[in-house]
Amino acid sequence: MLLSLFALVCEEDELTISELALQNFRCYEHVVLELPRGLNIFVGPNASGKTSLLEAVLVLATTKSPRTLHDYELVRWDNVWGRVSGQFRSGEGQAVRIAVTLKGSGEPVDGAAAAPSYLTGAKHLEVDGQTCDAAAQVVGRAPAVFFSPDGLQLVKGAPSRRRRFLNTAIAQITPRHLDDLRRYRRALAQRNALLKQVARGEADGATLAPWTSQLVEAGARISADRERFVGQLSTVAADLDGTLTGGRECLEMRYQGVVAGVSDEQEREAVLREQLDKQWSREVQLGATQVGPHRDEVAVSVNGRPLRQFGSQGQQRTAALAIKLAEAQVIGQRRGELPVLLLDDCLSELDPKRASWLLELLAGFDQVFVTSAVATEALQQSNWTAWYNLAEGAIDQERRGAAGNESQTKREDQRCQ
Amino acid sequence: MLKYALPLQKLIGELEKLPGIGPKSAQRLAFFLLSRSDDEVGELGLAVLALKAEIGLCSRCHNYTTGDLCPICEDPGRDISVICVVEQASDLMALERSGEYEGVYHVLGGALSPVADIKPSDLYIAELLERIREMRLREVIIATSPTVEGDATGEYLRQLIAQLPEPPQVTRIALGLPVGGDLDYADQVTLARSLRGRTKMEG
Ligand SMILES: Nc1ncnc2c1ncn2[C@@H]1O[C@H](COP(=O)(O)OP(=O)(O)O)[C@@H](O)[C@H]1O
Ligand SMILES: [Mg+2]
Ligand SMILES: [Zn+2]
Repeated sequence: MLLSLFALVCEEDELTISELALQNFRCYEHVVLELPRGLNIFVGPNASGKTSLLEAVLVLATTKSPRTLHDYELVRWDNVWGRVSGQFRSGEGQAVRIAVTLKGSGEPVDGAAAAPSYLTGAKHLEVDGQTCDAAAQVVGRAPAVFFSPDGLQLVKGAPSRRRRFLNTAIAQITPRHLDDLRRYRRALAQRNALLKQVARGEADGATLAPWTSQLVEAGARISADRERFVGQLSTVAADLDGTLTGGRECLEMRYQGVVAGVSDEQEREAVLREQLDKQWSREVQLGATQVGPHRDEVAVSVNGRPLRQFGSQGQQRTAALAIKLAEAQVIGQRRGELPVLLLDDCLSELDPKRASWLLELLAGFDQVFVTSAVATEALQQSNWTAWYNLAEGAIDQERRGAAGNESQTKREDQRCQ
Repeated sequence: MLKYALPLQKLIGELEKLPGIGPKSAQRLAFFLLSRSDDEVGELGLAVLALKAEIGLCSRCHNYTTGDLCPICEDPGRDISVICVVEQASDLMALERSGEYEGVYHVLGGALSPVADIKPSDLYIAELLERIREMRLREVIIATSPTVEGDATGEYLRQLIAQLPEPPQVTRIALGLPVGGDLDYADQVTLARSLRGRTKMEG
C-alpha cells in the first residue's frame, strides 16, 4: 500500500529547496546554505540552531512559523527586521524564489541596520522578486510539512489545534482555501457583532440574512475541502500507524462538522443555513454564531476509542507522527509533487527498529530534513546526501554523491549564539 | 529631543494623518512647504479650504459636486433607467474611466459593517429605494466591492429591492480576470472566484 502510494507520486515532479538564505532570522545573523535533494541530516547540541533552520523552510512554504503565532519572535533579538529566502526547484527545472521579510520588536540598537523601505507592515512576501499582497499568492508554491515532538498536540490538544492543522495542509493543496478562511472569519466577526446588537435591541434581526449568506457560502466550501482531505488522510494515516505499531492498532480519523456527509455543494449550503436558523434564538442570547466550520472537529480514535482521552502517551505520539507523514503523502498525491519534509527531533522518541523503519520510509521523499541532538547509529547508516554538524556558531556540511563515495566538507561561516 | 516650532509641529501632525504618509515623509513635506514662497503655499492652503467649502454631495446620487446635481445626473444623454450602485465616489470615477457605462449612479457612502457599527441607516439606502420607486427602473447594477462587507451589502440591497412593487432586475458586476493576464498566471484566488461567478453564455 505504502509503496504503491509512493509510486503514484514519484512519476511526477520533484520539489526541492536548493538554497536557503537567512538574515537576522532567530539566532542566525547571516547564513546561506546549499541544500541537495535527498536526506539532509542536521546534528548539534541543544540550542545550536537546528529547529530554526527547519522553521525557516516552513515559513517560506506557509508564511507562518510552526512554533509561534508572533512573527516578530523570528527576528534576531535587537534587530528591527529579518529575512528568509529560498530557491525552490521542481522536477521540470522550473525555479521559484520565495522571500519573507519580517519586522522585529523593540527599538533598534546602535549599529542595527534599518528596515528596507518595502517592509511597510509586519511582514512582506515576495515571489520571484514580486511583492505579494496575500498569503494565498505564496502558499502552495513550495509546500512543506513540519513535525516536531510538539506535534503531539495534534492529537492531545484542543480542537482548534486540529482545525489549524487542516487549514495549513489544505491551503498548500488549494491556495483558494485561504481566501475562503479569510472570508469566513470576516463574516463570522460581522455576524457575531450584529447578533450582539440585535440582543441589545440596537439592530433589526432581519439584517442578519446577508451576513448569514456570506458565512454559509464560504463555510460550505471550507467544510467540503476539510471532509475530502480528512477522508484521504485517514486511509494513509491508518496504514502508517499500523506499520509503526506492528499492526496492533487501528487508527481512524473522522471529520465532524454540521455539514459532514453532504456531498452536493448547494445541499451543503442549505444544511448549514438550516442549522444556523435553528440556533437563531440561542445565538442572539449568546451573541455568537453557534454552528459552522469554526466549531469543526476531527475525531481521532485508535481501536474505536478516542485517542485524546484514552490513548497512552506512546500511542498518541505514534499517531501524531503517522498523521503528519500522511499529510505529506496526501499533499503529494493531490499536487503531483511531494512536499519538503521537515522532521525536527523525532527520532529520539522512537526505538531503534521504528527509527530505521522511518528512515527507510523517508527514502521515498524527494527532500527531507532531519534534526537530532545526537548522531545515532541509525542516522549514520542511513542513506543521507548531506550531513551538517552544528556547533559553536558554525555549520559544517559534508556531502555525499548518489553513489556515496565522493565526500566533501564545507564550512559555512555564520554566527549563532 | 529637539522640538520644532509649534506651527511646524502642527503641520507635520496633520500631514501624518494622510494615507500613505509616515512621520518621515510628513517632515519632508513640511520642510519643503516652508522653503516655498508665500504665494505658492497660499495657493495650496486656499485649494484645501475650497475643497470642503465648495464641494458637496449631489442631491440625487451623492457623488461629489459643486452644484446641486453632479455632472452625470445633469447629463441628458445618460440612460436614467439603469442605476449602478457603488460604495464610494472614487468607485464611480473608476467605472466612469472605463467609458463602458451610460446609465446613472448611486453612491452609498460605504458598506454595511456591524463591527464598525455601520448600519443601513448610516448609508444612502433609503434614498436609493426612493429613487427606484420614483423612476421605474429597468435595472439596478450592484457594484459594491468584492469584500465580505461589499457582498453582504449587495445581498441586503437585493433583498430590499425584491420586496418593492414591480421591482427592477438586479445584477451584480462580474469579477473579471486581469487584462493581459494569461489564465496560467492569474492568481488562484481570482481564478477560483471568477469560476464561481461565471455567467451563462447567451447566443
Ligand atoms: N529571535 C531570536 N534571536 C536570537 N536568538 C534566538 C531567537 N529565538 C531563539 N533564539 C535562540 O536560538 C538558539 C537556537 O534555537 P533552536 O533553533 O531552537 O535550537 P535547537 O533546535 O538546535 O535546539 C537558542 O539558543 C535560542 O534561545
Ligand atoms: Mg530544536
Ligand atoms: Zn449625481
